[in-house]
Amino acid sequence: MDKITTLALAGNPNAGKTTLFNALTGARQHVGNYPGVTVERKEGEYRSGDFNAVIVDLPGTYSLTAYSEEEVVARDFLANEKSAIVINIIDAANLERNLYLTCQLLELKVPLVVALNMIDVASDRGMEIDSEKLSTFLGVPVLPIVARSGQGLDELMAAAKAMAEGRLAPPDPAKVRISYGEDIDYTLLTMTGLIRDHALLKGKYPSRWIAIKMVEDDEVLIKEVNEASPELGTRLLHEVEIVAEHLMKTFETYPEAVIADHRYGFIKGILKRGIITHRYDENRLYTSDRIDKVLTNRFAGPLIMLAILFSIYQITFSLSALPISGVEAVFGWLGGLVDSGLGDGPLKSMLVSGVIDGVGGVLGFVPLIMLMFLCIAVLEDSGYLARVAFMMDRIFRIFGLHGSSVMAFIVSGGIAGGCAVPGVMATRTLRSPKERMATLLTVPFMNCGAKLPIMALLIGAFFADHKALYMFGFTLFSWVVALVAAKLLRITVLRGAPTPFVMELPPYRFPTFKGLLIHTWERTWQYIKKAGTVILAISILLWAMMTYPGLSPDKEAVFVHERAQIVELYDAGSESGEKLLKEVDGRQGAVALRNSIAGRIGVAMEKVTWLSGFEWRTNIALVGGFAAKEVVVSTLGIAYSMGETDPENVGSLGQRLARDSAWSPLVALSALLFMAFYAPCFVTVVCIAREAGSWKWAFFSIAYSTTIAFILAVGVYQVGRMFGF
Amino acid sequence: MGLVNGTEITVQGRAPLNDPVALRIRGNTLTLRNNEADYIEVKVEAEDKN
Repeated sequence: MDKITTLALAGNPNAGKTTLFNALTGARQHVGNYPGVTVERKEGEYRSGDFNAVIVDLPGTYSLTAYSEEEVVARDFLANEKSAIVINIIDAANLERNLYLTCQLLELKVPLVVALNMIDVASDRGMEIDSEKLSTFLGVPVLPIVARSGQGLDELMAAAKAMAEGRLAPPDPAKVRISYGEDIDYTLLTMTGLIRDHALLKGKYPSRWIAIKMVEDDEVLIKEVNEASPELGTRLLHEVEIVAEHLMKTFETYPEAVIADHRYGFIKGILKRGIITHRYDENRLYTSDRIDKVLTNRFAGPLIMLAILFSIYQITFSLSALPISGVEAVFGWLGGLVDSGLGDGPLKSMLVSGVIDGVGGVLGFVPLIMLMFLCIAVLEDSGYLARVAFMMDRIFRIFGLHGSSVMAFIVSGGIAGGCAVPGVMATRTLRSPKERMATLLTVPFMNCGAKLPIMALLIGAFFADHKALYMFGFTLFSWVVALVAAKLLRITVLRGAPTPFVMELPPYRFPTFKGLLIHTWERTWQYIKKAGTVILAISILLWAMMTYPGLSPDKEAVFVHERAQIVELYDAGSESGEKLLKEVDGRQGAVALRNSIAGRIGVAMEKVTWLSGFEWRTNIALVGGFAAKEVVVSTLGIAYSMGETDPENVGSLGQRLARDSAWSPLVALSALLFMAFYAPCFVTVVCIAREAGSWKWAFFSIAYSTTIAFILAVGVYQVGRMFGF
Repeated sequence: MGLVNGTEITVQGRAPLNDPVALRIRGNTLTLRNNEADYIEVKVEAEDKN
């Protein structure tokens, strides 16, 4: 009962590791039909009867060479956690390629259980796989499962348990001693002998495995060997050189290629012995390929892609209109309740102006964000996003990026409604450091979910007739800015040659209802959580900064005097008298806000921001937006409700802005541009620093994006003014 | 990823701008840029059965 087993899930990208992980742990990890969704390793608990296990979801890898970061993560884990039982999950429909990793796991001599996943898909394709036979040939248990539906999981875990308790014989190394041809085998034999005699890296890797990796020219391992014993390293590398030279002379090939050849030969040898039976022609076009004929068609493909992306806007805006007005009404009602229920004072002001207007403004957009996330989830889970990367690579290459950057851009909000934080993390799937850095620094330009409310607010207030068009236009423009910025970075600070684009197009899969719900809810909940914590705190802080210091007694006295005069002149309750009184209240509010800490900061900033047409209240909001972009909306809400000059006609924030003399469609456009491209929010900046490995890049990101944003905003505002808008 | 000597490859499709190219290998679809795919040496087997 007390013993906890570690189970590691290893397998090719998109083989279903995360799905299995979720099924076993009951966790709700993000699963996408896109290779490389799991970059970091994740852990969860599994409990069944007296079997307790920690399950580790390793990043997907095709092999165990240290070619990419994912492979290094997976390999380090397997080498360092000796006690772990490895569950190698393989895609039954792609046995041959998936077994390539299995071979290497066997060579690494880890305790292994093979989970043959997606046997349902394989069976739909007319493939029958004899898992028992496969098990005999590999010398490890092979269990057919369907991770999506949970079929076969109990049997799989029973096998893992038996393996952990030592009731199953460990794999027989003789069975999987792959021959790599006479030349290499001889070299391996010599090297293995040397490694064993010197106990090189003993206990970490098997000696033959070290030899194989060195022949494969695995830089990370060679470095490790050289650090452990420089002298032996030189000797071993000399052996590698001899065989490499020989292979070059006789076959004109590299040792890596010979090794890969033989591994596939070994796999083919096994599979030929009646493991797979095909009911149909092996090379027939599957439904997925037929869909691709249309969706990635040279002419129809791009048009369909644009149509799909545009329809997402139409869907989200038209369907979310009603629930949004509902949520707004609830908060309006709540505000009214507090307003009438509490006496005037700081508490009421804080609740109404700080909490309800601030947080309510952000929460009002939950329906919109939820629908947007749902649409993205459908695209991602179905496998369409990978096609987008495929179609866009040529264009991305022009800008010094990579087709795989597309995923990072889209996650960050390329279809609007993402978040730059996972986007920044998604850049880890990029292999070249330069392309990765360029992607890292430009993904925050995308329309993340937090910018959507600001866009929806300003576009709704000033360009209501063409909402979807403006929104779509802004998204396209954010792509243009990001790509041009990437190109500029790639020809200045990040110069370097492009890296290969090698990506798999996974077969289309029908998204599961549960998957979509998890996906959508996960992201929406993050948004709501942020509204309830960070944004609530910042709203209150900003409210305080906008309230204090209050007016000086003599200034206050001026307004008190004015009120007294009005009361004297008009009868109590008369309409014109009330109106004048309220007008005085409004003026007092405006003067007080201007006098507050935030007001003073905003006014001071007008010295620069007049160029782009921002008045001091907008400045306050934009500064607040650095903490989190959603704060822009809540701060505008607070600023314009406190300084409200016409309380007869409160209305929504959008209506207030549209009426305010400091705003005009041109100012709104300038503000939209600035807001879309200025410094990434604080959380993103922290992530950039972490991913780039230095704060230097994070500060660079803040500085260069704010500069670009300001230039754009000033340009539009000044040109617009010239043309008399 | 399965691109080794003796593997049967078919060109499954091309991206709208003619590049990258999608190849069918061992039942998978793999995409490569043209200049990378240039390194693949092929022996044309037979015309398409269709």
